[in-house]
Amino acid sequence: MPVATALYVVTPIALFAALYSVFGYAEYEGTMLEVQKIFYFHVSSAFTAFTAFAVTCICSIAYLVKRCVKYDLVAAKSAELGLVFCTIVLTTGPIWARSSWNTWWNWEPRLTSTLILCLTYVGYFILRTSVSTEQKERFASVFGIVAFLNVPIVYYSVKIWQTGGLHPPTTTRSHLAESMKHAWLVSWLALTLIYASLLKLNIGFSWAQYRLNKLQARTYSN
Amino acid sequence: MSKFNLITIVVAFLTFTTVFNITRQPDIIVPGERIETTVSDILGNDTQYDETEIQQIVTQAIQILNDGQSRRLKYLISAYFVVWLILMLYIFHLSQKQEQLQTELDLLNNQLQPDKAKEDRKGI
Repeated sequence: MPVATALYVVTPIALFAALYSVFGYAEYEGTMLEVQKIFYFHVSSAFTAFTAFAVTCICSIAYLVKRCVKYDLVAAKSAELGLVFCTIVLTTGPIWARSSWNTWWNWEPRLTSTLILCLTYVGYFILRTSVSTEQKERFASVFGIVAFLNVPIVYYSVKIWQTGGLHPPTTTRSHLAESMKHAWLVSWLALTLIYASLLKLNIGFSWAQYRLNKLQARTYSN
Repeated sequence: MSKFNLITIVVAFLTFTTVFNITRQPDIIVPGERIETTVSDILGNDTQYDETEIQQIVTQAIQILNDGQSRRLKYLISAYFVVWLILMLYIFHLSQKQEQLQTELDLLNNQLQPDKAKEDRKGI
């Protein structure tokens, strides 16, 4: 079975397993009760976004080394998906915060750095659309590498700026109950598979579009 | 949007709501008499507690939990709805892209092989 087909078959199964483990298997957290279940998709989306941005960074380096258009294409599409997952984080977060902290938004380190991360990748796409074709890939690759530096800052923001922020420290996950830990891992796997499936699909379309554009240019020039 | 995409979205949404409804915690419904007998059972013959007062406190606590549940579920559903909506909008964007690609391909095909394209359209 080709990898793509396997991916498209496994992803819905994993998503179903994640929903079941979140709502049917994981126990309720004592203080927040049902609302805590936002955690499974909120944190998993954040980790998936980090993965997507890491792929962008790696492919950007690969492009600068090998100058192969395919790497630039993967980098751009991965950043696009990273932005999608980052948007999920930034919208589910305030909903959870309103219920647990009684506020929609707070300019604490984790929230602010995540917003900056999101805006940085918006800038990545603005750059891609505003620079001429010859230089676009090169500039975008450099930007893709530099933008990734934000990811560890977001992850360790709670540790770096210990100013009484509302987010718990990064070690919280290791104190979770076993059933919660399992549900979180399944959710993370499901979202990573969704990311991989959508990336595969998007790269396919974009590669076809790239080849079509080349063909059109050649046809019209003749 | 293609029929296949629409079906996928509907099926996925229905699956989510089914799983959510099957597995969500049932409402806390405890009748007043049940509270009375439970409190009496726990206290037994201990006279240092005011039984009526404890019953009132327990009833109030259950009421607070009950009221809070619908509020908590509202936030939970909103968050999962947002996750769903963002992913669906992205899939919709991809399907639009596919349609656009198909149109451009047809256009190019028409220009390169006008006769063949006519036959393709007729389904020959």
